[in-house]
Amino acid sequence: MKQIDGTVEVQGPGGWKRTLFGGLSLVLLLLLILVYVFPFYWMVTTSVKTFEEAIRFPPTFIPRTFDMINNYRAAWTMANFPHFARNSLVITLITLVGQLLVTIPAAYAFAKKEFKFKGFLFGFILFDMMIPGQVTFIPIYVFLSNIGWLDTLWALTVPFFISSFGIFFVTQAFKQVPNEVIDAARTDNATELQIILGIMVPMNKPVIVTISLFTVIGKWNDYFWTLILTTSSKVRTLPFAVKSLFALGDGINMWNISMAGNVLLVAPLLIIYIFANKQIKQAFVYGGIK
Amino acid sequence: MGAEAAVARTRRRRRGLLNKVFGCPYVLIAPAVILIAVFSIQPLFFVLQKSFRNFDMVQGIDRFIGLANYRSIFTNPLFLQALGNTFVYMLCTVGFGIVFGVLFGLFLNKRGGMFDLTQSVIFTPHIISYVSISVMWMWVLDPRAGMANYLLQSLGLPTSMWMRGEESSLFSVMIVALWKGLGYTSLIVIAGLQNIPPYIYESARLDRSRGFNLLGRIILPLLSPTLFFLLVTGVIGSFGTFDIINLMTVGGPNNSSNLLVHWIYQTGFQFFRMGPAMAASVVYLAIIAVISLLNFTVFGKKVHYQ
Repeated sequence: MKQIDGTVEVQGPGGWKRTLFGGLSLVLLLLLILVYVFPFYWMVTTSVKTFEEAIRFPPTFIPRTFDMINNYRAAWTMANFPHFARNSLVITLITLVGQLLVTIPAAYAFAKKEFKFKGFLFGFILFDMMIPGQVTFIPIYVFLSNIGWLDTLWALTVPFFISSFGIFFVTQAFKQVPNEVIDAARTDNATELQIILGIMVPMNKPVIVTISLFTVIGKWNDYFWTLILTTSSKVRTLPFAVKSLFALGDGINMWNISMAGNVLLVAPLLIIYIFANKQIKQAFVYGGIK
Repeated sequence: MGAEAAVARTRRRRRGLLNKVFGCPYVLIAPAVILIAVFSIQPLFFVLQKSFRNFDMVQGIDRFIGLANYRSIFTNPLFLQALGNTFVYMLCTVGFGIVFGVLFGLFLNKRGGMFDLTQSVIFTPHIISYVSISVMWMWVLDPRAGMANYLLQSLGLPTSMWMRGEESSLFSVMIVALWKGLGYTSLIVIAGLQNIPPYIYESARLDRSRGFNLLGRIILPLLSPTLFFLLVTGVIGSFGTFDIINLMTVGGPNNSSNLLVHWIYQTGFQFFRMGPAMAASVVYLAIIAVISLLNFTVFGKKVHYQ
C-alpha cells in the first residue's frame, strides 16, 4: 500500500501476524474477564447451594443441590434487610440533598461574585480538600458524642453536607457560564434564586450529575464513617447487614447465606451499572482528570 | 387601587429582601465555611493539641505531657510495624497499580466491542463497597474450603493460609486492593491516551517510531500528567487505607497486616489511648503534607504538559 509520504507499508507477512495477534488479544481479553467475573460467579453460585455443598472441598463449579429460596429468605430476615435498606436510602438521600444545597450556592458565589477575602476563602476550600477524614475522625467522634449526635441520622448526614471537592468542581464549571447570560437575566428582572436555579444549574447538569453520583455511590458504600459514628444497628446501613451475616474469626461461616446477603447488597449497584456504565465511567474520568 | 398597590409593594419588598439574601456572597458560602470550620479545621487543631496531652474521655483526664505520646509510639514495635506495612502496601499497590494500569490501558485502548466490554467488566469492582468485595474474596481465599487453595492444589502448588497467615495476610489484602483498583487506573490511563492528539501518532509514524521507542519517547512523556495524577491520588489513598484491613484481617494475625490508620483506630477506639492515637495522626498528617508539597514543587515541574 502506497502511503502519502511515499513509503511502502509492508503488508505481505503482516497477514498471519495480524491473525496471531488477534488470537492472542482474544485470549488475553477472556483471561481478564475471567479474573474479574469469577469471584462474582462464585458468590452467586454459592448463594444458591445447600450449606453442605457450599463448604464441600473440592468445590463444585456448577451447583448440584439448590437451596436458593431458603438462603435468600434467611439472609433477608436474619440480617433484617428492610431496616438497613431504609437507613441506606434515607441517609444517602438526605446527604445528597444537603450537599447540593451547600455546594451550589457556594460555587455560584465563588464563580460569579466579587467579594472581600474571596481568594482566602477559596483557599480555605482547597485546604480542606487536602485534609483526609482519616486524620479527623477521632475529634469528629468526640465532638459529635459531646453534642449527643452519636448513633443518630444527624451524625451520618450533616458532616457530609460539605464536599470541598464538589464545590471546587462546580465552581470551575460555573465559571464557564458567560457573564452576558447572567446580566441579560438581571435586566429581565430575574432574582438571584432564579439565576441559580434557572441558569447555573440547568447549564451545568453534567457536572451536577457527576458530583451527585460520587455522593450517592460513596454514601451507599460507606463503611468507615458508619463504623465510627454508630454504636448500634439503629441507623446503620446495608453493608452492616452483610457484615452481620458474616461470623468473623475462625468459626464456620454459613457461606451460602453470607453470599446470598452479599448478592442482595451488590445487585442494585450492578443493575444500575449495567444500564448506565458509559455515564458512570465518564463521570469517574471527568472527576479524575479535571 | 390603593390596596392592590400596597400588596404589590410588599411583594416587591419581600422579593427584594430574599434577593438580597441570595445575592450576598457571604450568605451563599456561609454553610460551606461553617461546616469546614466545624468538621475539618477544629478537628485538626484538636489532633495537634491532644497529641501533646494525656487525654482520656472516660476518666476525664486532660493534661499536658510534652512529647511523651510521640516517644511512646516511636518506641512501640506494633506502631513501627504498622508504619512499615503502610509503606510496603503503598509501594506495592501504587507501583503495580500504575504498571498494570498502563499495560491494561494500552491493551484496552482499541475500538471494538470486546475491548469496551472488558474495560467495563474490570471497572465494576471500583463502584462496589469494600464490604461486598471483602466478603466475596474472603470466600475465594478461605483457607479451608476456598477456591484459591483448590486451584493451587490442583496445579500441584502449596496452598496458603491467605489472610489468616502471618506471612500472607498483607499480601492477600494487597491482591484484593489491586484487583479492585485496576479498572479505575486503566480507565484514567485510557482517557489520558485519548487526550493525546492523533497528529502526534501520525508524525511519530512518519518518523518510523514504533514499539518501545514510540512508548518510551512519545506516549509515556505525554501521558505523564495522567501518571502523576494517579501517583499522587494513589499514594494518598493508600496511606488512608482502612476498610479492607478492618474487614479482611482486622490488622492480624499478630499485627502482620496492620496499617497506619487502622492502628490509629484500634489505639483510640478499642484501647482508648487517645494521646498516642493523636500523635500517630500527626505523623500521618505530616506524611500527607510532604506528599502534597512534593506534588506542588519537585514533581510538578518535571511533568510534561502539552
